[in-house]
Amino acid sequence: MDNSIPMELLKFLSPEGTLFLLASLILLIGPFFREKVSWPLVSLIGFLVSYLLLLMQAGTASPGDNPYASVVLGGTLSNLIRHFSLGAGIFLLFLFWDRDRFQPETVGLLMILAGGSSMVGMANDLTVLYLGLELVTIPSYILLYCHGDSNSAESTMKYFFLSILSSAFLLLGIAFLYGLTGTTNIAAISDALLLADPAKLFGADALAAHRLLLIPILGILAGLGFKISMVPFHFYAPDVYQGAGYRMSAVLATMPKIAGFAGLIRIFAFALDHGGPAPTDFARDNIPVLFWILAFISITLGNLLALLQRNIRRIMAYSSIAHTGYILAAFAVASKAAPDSAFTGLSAAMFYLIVYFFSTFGIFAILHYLEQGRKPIRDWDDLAGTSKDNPVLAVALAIFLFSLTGIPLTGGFLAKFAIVYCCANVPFTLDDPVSWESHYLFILLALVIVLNAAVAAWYYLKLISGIFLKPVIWLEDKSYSFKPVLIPILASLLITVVLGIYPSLLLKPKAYQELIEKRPIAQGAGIHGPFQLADGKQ
Amino acid sequence: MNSLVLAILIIPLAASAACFLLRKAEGSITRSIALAVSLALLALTSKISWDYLELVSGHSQIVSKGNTFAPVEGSTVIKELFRFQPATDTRPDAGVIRFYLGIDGLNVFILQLTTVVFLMGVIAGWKSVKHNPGAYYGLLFFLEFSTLGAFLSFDLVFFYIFFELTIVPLFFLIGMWGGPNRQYAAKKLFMYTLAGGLMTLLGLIALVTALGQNPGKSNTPTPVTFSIPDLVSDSMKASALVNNMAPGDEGLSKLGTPSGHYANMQKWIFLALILGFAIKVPAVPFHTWQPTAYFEASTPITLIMSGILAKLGVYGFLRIVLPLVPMATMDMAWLLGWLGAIGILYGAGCAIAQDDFKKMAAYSSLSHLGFCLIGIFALNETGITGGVLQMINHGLITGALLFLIAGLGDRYGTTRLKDLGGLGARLKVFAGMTMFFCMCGAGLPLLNGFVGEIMALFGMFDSRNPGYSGTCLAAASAFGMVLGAWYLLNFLMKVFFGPVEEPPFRNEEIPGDLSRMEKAILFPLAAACLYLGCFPQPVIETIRPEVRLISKIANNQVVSLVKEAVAPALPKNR
Amino acid sequence: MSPIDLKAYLVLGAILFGLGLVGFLTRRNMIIMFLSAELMLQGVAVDFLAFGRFRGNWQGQSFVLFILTVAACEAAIAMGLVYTLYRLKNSLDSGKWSDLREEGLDSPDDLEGAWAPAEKPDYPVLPLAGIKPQSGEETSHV
Repeated sequence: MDNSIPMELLKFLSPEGTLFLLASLILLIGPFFREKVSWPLVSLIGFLVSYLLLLMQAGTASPGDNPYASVVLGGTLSNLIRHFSLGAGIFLLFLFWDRDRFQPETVGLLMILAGGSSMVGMANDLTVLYLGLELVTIPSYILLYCHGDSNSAESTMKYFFLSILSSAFLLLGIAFLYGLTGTTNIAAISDALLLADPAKLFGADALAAHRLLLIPILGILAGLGFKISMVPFHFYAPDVYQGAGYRMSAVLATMPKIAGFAGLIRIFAFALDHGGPAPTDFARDNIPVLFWILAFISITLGNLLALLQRNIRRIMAYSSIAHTGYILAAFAVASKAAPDSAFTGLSAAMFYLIVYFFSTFGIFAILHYLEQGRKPIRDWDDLAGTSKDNPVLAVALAIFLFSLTGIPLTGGFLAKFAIVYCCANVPFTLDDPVSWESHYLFILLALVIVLNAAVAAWYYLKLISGIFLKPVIWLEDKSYSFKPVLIPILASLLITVVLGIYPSLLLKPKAYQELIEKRPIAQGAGIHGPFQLADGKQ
Repeated sequence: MNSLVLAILIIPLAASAACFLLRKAEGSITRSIALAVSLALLALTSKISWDYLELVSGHSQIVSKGNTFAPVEGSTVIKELFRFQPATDTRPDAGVIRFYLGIDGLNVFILQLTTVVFLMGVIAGWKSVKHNPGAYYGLLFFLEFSTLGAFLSFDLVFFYIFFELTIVPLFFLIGMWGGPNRQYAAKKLFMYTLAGGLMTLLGLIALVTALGQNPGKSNTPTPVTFSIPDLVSDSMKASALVNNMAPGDEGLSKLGTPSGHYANMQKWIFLALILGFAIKVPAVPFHTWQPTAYFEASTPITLIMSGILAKLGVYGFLRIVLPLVPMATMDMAWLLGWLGAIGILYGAGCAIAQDDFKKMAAYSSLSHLGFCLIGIFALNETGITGGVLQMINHGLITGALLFLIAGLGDRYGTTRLKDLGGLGARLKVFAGMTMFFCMCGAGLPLLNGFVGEIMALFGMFDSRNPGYSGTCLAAASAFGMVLGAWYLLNFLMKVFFGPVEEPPFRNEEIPGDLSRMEKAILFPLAAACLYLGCFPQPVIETIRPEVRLISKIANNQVVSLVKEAVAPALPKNR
Repeated sequence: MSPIDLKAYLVLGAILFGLGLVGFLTRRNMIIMFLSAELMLQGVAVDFLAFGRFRGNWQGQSFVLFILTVAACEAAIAMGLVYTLYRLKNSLDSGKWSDLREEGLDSPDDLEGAWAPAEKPDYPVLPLAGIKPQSGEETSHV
């Protein structure tokens, strides 16, 4: 076997490679020129170069044509997540443009964060996926400590300890996935889980094999569920956001989610496919049900708990939990679409994630900007008077909040519409009672989503009425100066509104399904064919 | 005509943006812009109505344009926005959300009404809107944009988008320019309408997917469509399929056949759909947001809400509920009929008890819109025609009355009944106009209020729906007309006759009679009311094709249900 | 064939993982908590090695190398973090950190008053990387 690294692979990895190299360089020599160089500018140039490199290889399928031999994978979905991660990195970079003491470290770590998230998006190997996730997590501890508000130490402590716990669970899951299938290649694992007779996987009886499969599934869900703040693993989110300040809340509410959802899509590819080979009962029945339950409790609990909060960042934390739930609902329904359907839950989920990113980023960035000229904004009634002293940003904030509520003409409406549409459109056949059951179950889920959207409107409305309707007795004398952070705010405003009017820019049927494209099933063809060693006890 | 159709959507949007940009300018400039734009829109809609009338009378055969719900040729604006599914040969517009506008008999007069009511809103707020007029008129035109959009849409998704969008400007208009308790009123309105609207959204999506899955007997799903004309023809096909099934062997509501599934789903879809529309109207158990919102909003906003936004809900019943879920409508029309009748009596009763004109107007609106409901859910041609006429008439009458109430508010700074009295001596023309419009509202024959209400009552009386106590409802509603006359006359007597009672004048200024601008809008309105009361036939003729189609869809069901009731007597292979 | 089969290794891994989990959940000393988490990672590493041997390929072992590297990174951060946290509250008790919580809940800090905080010793202060230490003056950034 040829052990040299092929040029093709290097070219494929060049965007992330550029980011990591430049970030290491900045971290190494930056501290010696702390005040002398405009570090965000350097970092922005690095991001742009990496983006150019990514654009140049648009259309490249994968390095090498054998998905069983490659650790990374190209294709539309991979491309989308890489573009999205880099773009998100650039947006977040503008939040940290103001000169402060940790600038070189900050921008370097942000670049690593974006590169890590992008790595998860293209991963075709559990090793790459795990490393990408850690590259998102580890820099965020340092950023959180350096840029949080007065409670940042506590917030970092909580985030750090729960995060290493979750990554232990993730690793446990990955270990058992590897043990059960004999490979870390995700394409091969998907095939194994899709096609294999579970009994053969582990040389045990089928029931035991099913039970064993639960270990990796639950472990991975626990690990990634922490990153996306899914309900049983959401406890950290409100506390951490509360102590994190608006800038770091913006980072924590977006980057780990992009990475976490990308990881979920990659690992659970076998259960999100809707037109592939006939899946095993396990993939067809159990995993959508799992996602269904998780979506249900995330949406409901997130929204109900948000009603009780006063602190804006806690409200936003719970709302982000609820939004995770909506995306999980799209995951649950992804495999249920009709075989010839062009539009599935996966497209809806990606669209939702993108819309969620821009709206959340906009809210946190505007609040960060507004906090400059006045006393800290903690509770929702601290927003009173915003419409008087900065009407333009007040309107922008309202548009972002309406987008999260799901009011028409913003991206948020069409994102929710797409998910509800997918849930209501689960096909059934007359002679198959199981399909009837799932048809009604998903209509129930659509009902849950719709009812919760109404519940959520209450706390978003609370913020909006704080901005516009709450009477101000006394206005501080403030002046707002131009700051670079206004550029991405304007951009996300435009994107939120344009996606609400013309979603075809991003919401394309057939676009994101190549992830599980109809590749040849490994009939012992892969280098690590999954079943070859099933009986090879040594 | 299609450029006109596009123009009446773009102009308010542009005007809204312009007003926001000019928020630093003098109030008088924004006001003049607002007046000019409203007049221009009125002219445009008049042109559209005129063109439509010519088109319809020119080709009388357009009346029999067949069983489609499509807008008239030349009035459509179509822009493809997002495709869920690739097009098929048989149906190129399948699986796509389109920006699909058009004019037909149902919406042509309502568009006209919209621009009239908004013009009245602009003039009614001429003096009272002092605080931040740029933002006020910006929001007002945004509201007009979304209202016109909802009436023009022939695509379900766009209908919903515009329908839901109306609550955003309304929230701010009430919350920022309303009375002392405005925050609460605005939040209540927003939450109520949004929650109902979201249920409607779920209903719409379920409707689209249910129809997409099975109008035929085969299991292969037909592509979904969001276009209302296509959905109507799908729905008719599906109903025909169910009707042609022999009773007993593949029962209507049994799961097990696609159409059976469809019939079963319809009930749930119907319930989800009417929730949003009934809250918007509002119909009785869902009306609790209305008194606070109408009372706390400034009078011009109350005028717009009552004059046109309430019609959005009624229009939703007509355009979506009746033709798209006919079986469930047939089964559950009694429910809406009762809600309408209860609304008539309850609204009138509450209106008698109020001590404030605005609250009285709010409850009288509840009462009069009940006639729309009983007319429409009589499900026959007379009733539906009455419902549509009542929509238009109520818009004109309540608009004019609230316009006059706004004038009283401007002159005396109060809308409380006990503060005013005997004003007929001072405001002669004002009193005369108020009396005229009160008579219209009370349903005096030869005035327009009478026509709509009487036709709705006839329709209800004539309703053939078995097990449907039409007579009873019609009688109850007729009693509501008497109560309506009671509170209107009560109001007239207290305010304009008897000893003079006036609060101290503000600014030492003696309130004058109707100004030239007020006359310029009220006299044509009065003429229109008189005309519609004496010669309603042209309007009835214009809306006839659509109304006939809707009632045909419903009547088809009537026949089939009657058939089922006497099933054993019929041959089985029918 | 080895006399000890796969199951034994997995049981060992599970014991390590379980001990770590229990330790993490029950202890309040931050260093012990971190060590427990590391124990969980090592339990997983044992699983990986056992599976790699069982499957007869190298992927398991290579994965363990990555786990060790990441664990080292995390340890570096953990030590820095625990050190600064200790300096801020003079205690390693994680229960001391309860300023961020739901409104209306009591602090879980049930040890309040049970021990007297030690006098704050005079710790040496580290400057930021790349900056020359200034003698005798506090340059802490915390």
